[in-house]
Amino acid sequence: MEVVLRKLSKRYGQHPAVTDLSLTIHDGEFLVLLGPSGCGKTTTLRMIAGLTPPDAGDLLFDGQRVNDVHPSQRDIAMVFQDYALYPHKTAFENLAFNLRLRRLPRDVIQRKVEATADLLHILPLLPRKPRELSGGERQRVALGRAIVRDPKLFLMDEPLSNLDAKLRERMRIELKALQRRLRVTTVYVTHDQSEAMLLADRVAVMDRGYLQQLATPHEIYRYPRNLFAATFIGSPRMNLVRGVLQRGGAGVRFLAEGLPSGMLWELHLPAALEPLVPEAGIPVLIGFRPESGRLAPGWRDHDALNLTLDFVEPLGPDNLLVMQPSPGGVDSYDHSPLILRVSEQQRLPADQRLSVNLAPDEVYLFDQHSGEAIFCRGRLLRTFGGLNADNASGHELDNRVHDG
Amino acid sequence: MTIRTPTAALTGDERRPGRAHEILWLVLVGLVVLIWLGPVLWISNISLKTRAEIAVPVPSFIFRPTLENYAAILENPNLVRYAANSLIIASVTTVITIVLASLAAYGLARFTFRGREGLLTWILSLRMMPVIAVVVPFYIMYQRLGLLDTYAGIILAYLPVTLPFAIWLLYSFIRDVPVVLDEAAMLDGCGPWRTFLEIVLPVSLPSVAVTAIFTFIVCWNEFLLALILTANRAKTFAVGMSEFVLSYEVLWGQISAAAMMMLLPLLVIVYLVQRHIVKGMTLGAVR
Repeated sequence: MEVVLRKLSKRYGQHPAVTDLSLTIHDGEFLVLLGPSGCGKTTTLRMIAGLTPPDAGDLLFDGQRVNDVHPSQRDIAMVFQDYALYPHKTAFENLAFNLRLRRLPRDVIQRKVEATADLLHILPLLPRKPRELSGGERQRVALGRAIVRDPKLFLMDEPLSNLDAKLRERMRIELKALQRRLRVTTVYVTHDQSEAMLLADRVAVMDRGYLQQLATPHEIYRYPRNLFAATFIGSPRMNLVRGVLQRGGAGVRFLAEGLPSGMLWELHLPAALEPLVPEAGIPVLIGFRPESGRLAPGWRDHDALNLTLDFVEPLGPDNLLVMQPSPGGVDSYDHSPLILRVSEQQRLPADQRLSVNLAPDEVYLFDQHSGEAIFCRGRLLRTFGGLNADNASGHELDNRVHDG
Repeated sequence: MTIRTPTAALTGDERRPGRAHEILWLVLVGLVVLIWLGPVLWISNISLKTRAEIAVPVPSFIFRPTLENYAAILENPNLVRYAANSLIIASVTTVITIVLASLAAYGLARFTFRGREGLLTWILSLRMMPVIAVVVPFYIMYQRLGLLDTYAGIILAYLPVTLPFAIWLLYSFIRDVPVVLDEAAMLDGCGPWRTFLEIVLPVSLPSVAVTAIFTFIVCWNEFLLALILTANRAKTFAVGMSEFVLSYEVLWGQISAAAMMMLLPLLVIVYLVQRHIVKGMTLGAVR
């Protein structure tokens, strides 16, 4: 079933929870609503379910406006964050509830419930009541209750967040495989960006009630539309350093603050862009992900970012190198430490000084004031003063961009 | 060389304060229990004494017990009838009250509508109404309507007394049922009625049981309205019992026996229902 959200808005008193949200969820797609607490993702999910009526906008299921359709008539199954299992009913009865309401014959119900329970490995748990089940078992019963119905749409509100880390990892993969098999349109809410990256066909990144970007995980990772999307996705967070985008002789080039006088490198942007960069230059933030760049011991006096190592966090196959600010070295724009991820075999200098060299296709450039992305990994993103740049996301987006 | 071990360090001085506290606590609790149970024990005492024993100027704990008071009550056909009346009236009132109050509580707890706050306050205020102020008007109305001394009449009169309390009790209990359960039920295809009957009500069964007990006790013990509004056919046991206060003497023995017998059904019912008050019935639904 295709779901269309058109300018949906909801406010609680004075507080706007969701503003002008528009997007299309394709049939069979696994869409993840991703964002920090309070960004409006759960409110959006509840509006789709019909549990929270929107203040404005339209909700369409396969082209039909369903704003006024009662949740019980929408043929949607939802998995709640705290499972919401009926405590006075057995697992079997929980699964069978909807089927029973639909007046399906007894043997059909039996068959369907057992098939679903088998799929989720909870067959022996069917006669138990929720209070006799562990967290992981309850979660699978909640999932089973949704699956057994064969609905047009699955809604999931952080269903894995109450599980321990190991179980969560396993369930993520099982969930993805399951959805692939069932091919039911799914909307999934989470604040965990790695979960989103794994599960989603597409991710809708939200912040403070606005849609920031709607794209595949791969696209958001490589071509984030703004600072928020860039810093929310990817762990550890992208490193950000202040710089200036300036005109240069052979194309546009930029400088990073804290470097010895000399350019980092020249970005060969289309020459037509040059006149659009003002004489004074554009203050930018230069971003690079922890896993990018080539490390060399000691500091260099050009073509590199000079860093001072504070400590190492071992991750097993990799190490995280956490940097500290130091005079002459490069500092992060918000003074949070710069972090590099390197193989654990990487040798580290004794005097803690290293330099990082970045290739153009590893660099992200953001406008320092608006937070919008200008240039990501070799691709020009922004509509640069009228010239239509190659917009990597290319989806319906009407929203405001927030600073990181 | 004295070796200081941990146990050696704990002298009697350190141990005694703990024990002292425990004993003090027990004494205090015992005292409170005695104060509460005192009257009951005293009455049970009297109910087993003969008239002569009761009249003694200095009452004693040591006496020859007799069952003649209990016999007097059981052999009195009227009193037995009054007891049956009490049972019927209290039971029917409780059932009606629970049905109406649970529906009202569900509506108040789960739906928003204009005047909801005012309604809640008004219902609460009904509890504050002194019954004695309305008995005379009630009598006059009932006489005109022919409701005096009828089951229907007294039950109808009890409802305005029991409903406000029951509604408030059930309202606060239903509010504690997580709304997610309602929402899950709705998404599963339940309309408001189904949600109430299949999900909310079963989950709050312990609360319903508690409310039922309270309602029953109120009806069972009620005296004023029963006194005024019933005569022969619908007279309750409480009123019947009061007739042991004669113009020339008080039949203490019989009254005490009657009081003990009046306690009995309450004990039985509370015992039966308290098994259904399983703590944490909603455990496992959420998280």
